[in-house]
Amino acid sequence: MKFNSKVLFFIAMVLGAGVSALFAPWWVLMPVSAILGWFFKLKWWSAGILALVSVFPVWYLIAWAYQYSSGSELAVMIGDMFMGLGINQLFMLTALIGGISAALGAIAGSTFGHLFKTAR
Amino acid sequence: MFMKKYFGFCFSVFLCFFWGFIMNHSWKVEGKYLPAIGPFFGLYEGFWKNVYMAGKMPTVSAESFSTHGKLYLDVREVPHIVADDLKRAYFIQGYVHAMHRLWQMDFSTRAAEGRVSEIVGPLALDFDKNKRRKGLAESARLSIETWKKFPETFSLVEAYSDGVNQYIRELDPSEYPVEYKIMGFSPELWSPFRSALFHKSMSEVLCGRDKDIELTNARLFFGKDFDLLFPEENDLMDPVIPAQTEWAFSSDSIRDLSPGNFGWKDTGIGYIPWQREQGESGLGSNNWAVAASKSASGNPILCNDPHLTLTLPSIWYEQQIMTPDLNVYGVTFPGIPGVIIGFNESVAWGVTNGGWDVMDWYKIQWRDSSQTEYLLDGKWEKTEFRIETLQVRGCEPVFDTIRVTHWGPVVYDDPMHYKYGLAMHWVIRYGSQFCELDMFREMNSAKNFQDYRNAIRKFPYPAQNIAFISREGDIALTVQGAMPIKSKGQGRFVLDGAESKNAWNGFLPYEWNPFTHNPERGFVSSANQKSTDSSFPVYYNDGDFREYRGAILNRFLQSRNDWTIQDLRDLQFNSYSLKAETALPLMLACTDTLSDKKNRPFLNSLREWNFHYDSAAIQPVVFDLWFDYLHKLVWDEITLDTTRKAISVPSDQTTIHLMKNSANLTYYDLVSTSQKENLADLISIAYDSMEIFLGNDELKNLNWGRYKSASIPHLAKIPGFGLSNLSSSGTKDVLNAHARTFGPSWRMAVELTEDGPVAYGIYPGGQDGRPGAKNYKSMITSWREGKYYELLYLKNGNDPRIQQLKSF
Repeated sequence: MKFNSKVLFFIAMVLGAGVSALFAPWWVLMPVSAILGWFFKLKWWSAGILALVSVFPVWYLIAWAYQYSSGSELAVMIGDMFMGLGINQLFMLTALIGGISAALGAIAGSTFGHLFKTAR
Repeated sequence: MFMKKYFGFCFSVFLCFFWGFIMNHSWKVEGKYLPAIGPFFGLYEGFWKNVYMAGKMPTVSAESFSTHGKLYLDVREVPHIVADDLKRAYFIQGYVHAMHRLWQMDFSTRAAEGRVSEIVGPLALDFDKNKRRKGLAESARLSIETWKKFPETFSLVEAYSDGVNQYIRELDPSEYPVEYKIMGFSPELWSPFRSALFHKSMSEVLCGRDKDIELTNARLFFGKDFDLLFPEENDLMDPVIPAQTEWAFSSDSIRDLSPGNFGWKDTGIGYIPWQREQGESGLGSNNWAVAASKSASGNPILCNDPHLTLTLPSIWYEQQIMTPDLNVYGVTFPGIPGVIIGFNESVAWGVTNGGWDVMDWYKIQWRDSSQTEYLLDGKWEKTEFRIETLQVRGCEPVFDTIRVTHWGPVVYDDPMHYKYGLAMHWVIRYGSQFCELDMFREMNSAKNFQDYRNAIRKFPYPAQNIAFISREGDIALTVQGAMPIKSKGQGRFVLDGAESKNAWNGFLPYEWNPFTHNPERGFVSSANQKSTDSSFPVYYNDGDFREYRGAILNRFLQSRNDWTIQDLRDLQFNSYSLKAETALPLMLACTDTLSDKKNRPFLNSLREWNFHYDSAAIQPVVFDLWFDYLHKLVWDEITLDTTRKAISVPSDQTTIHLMKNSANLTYYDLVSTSQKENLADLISIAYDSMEIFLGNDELKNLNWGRYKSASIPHLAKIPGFGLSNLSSSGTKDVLNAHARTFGPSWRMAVELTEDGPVAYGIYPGGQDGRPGAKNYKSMITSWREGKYYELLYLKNGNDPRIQQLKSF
């Protein structure tokens, strides 16, 4: 059951992150993760880590897809603006911002859920 | 247990808000604002969206202008607009300008209005204050009042604004050009006022420079030698309007307005330590037209390459507009309706800057430190105070009190004494009896010489040399602009603002402006040299005249009678230096007499030089350095004196003239040594300095292109968004006048054949102003190599070639 809920949480996070990344501002990821964190009632650290590892590759892949579908030099130019960061570093940074935002949201949701959970 | 959980929850919520705050905040580093990391890296609203969009054509919503007409884009994304009337065409023009260049239009007009601090913070405060003191926005408001008196034209400008605004309204904030996201602001709706502002900012670039203060300082320093060192005429002079042209009026007709000789009058203000940044001198634009009799094909040909500070996005934007009444192709300014430089089936025209001094300075004598009154004609006049409120990002608003006098705003205060200031008197403070935009509108549909003359008379400033050809075979060139009527010498130096007799005496009627029509020599040309010879009845002084390019251009044009459009295109890229041709033999002759200079490799290579500033050649580097050292040494009295920076130095041309004709000039003696040097000594010392500089191992493989290291920065100087270390031919004072950040902003050659115009053009940039887009800088490589694109001039909306274009 625990394993299943973790898998389901992971999948839900991937979907939630994907949809919100394409249609909503960056911060929406935090309430989405919080709701999922509350709903799945995982331990806070488990929710945080799972949110991070699920959203990180989603954001990385979306950024990668934007870059490679366009072939534009813009990402290189942006990298130059940020002290000469390479494109891969920009992907990583983007993914990290998404991942951390999701993790913090999921932790908040999870801790909120645990406020009302009765100890066995 | 509950408390522990409660604390955990609160802490995690705190972390969320803290993270949100950190990510959403635009942090300031070294005075500059960084984009807020969260939104900037956000996949929906951040730069990745721009990365994605840059790979595609800009979003076009055809429904938004389908009732206005059709839009076709060719492979370079040049719009070809087909509409039933001009109003509809201008609506679409506004739409496509915004589609490709929204940020550029928005930012450049905010800059002209003095509102950059709102975006970048206190860093731009001085810049904004300067713009406001110059009164660009005031002048734009004045223009709007004039434009409203011409309802037909005004409705066209409104249609253009509606087109821009249509595009802005269709944009989702996530689709804003990336510069908005970096700088953290949003587009503002367009209005005719902003079009007027754009015109004022161009006026500032083209006629907002003068040397009055630097020349006043030079006059004080050099005393009686001044006239020798800063002559108003010289032996190279080959004016825009050929000598012996008959003028439309005589000096008798203006005797009362332009009496006698003004000359030099010391206002008593002393040395003015005001260092102004006015860009490099010696650079500028070219245009010429050859008559049918001088072309191999028997068709008139016109060429134009206006030279400006180069930026990305480029200042120009190509476009064709087709309505039942006109069919015009050329370059436009994003921000202004119509085509600025271009051609239609019947005529072609091109412009260079006229360069008249239309900005004079008046010494203001304050009554006391409150500066509420100033002296004028023996009476104390009240100062008008205008308070400007500057919104500053991240700070409280700043108020700047501008003191306005009879002459204009006081822009400079004497740091040593509260009693004196300098007021700026500039042509843009005058209203116009015409709507300047009508000039472009009428030129766009002109059919013959008379249409050209009627159209251009509506253009007051910046004064332009407007070259023209017609299918009927006319060639012409008019120096068009509001020319202040001055007495000889008036406005060359700072004037005394305590006497109203020092004012301009109105403006010359436009019909009297210098012009030439079908001159005997079979060509017209201009390259920012003096407009006329000394026979012109009105005095006008040197705002920004240069003679080398004009002289060499006329020499080339005179040399043949079988010019082809290809030859004339090559001429635009020509980098032959008349300065080197005149100076180098003198310098080499001196070194030949010195035993230690014989057989030096650099000298041997210079002896074989063809005087072309080619990017691959080393000789231009050697000559340029050598001459620069020499020039500094000749004028060491001022160039090596750090306390005298705001002072004019005699030009290269005058220096060479003196080298040739004045063997014993006292200025050859170096002030820093006890012995007495002569010209040969200076040439030798300059050579040694150059050789030491070039002797460095790292510099041995230098060539001119690498040495000059040109760049095309982004308009807002965003790192990575421009191009640097470009290797290119040319320099100032040659036809291909390309210095580090300044150069040919548009090259165009048009031949009017029986089958319609055949035209070529190119500019350093691309149509699409979105950084990273396919056409952001797509033309730069070809432009550097002197190549052109054939311009696709569709004959009408039914031209079969239209089928190959992308239609909307």
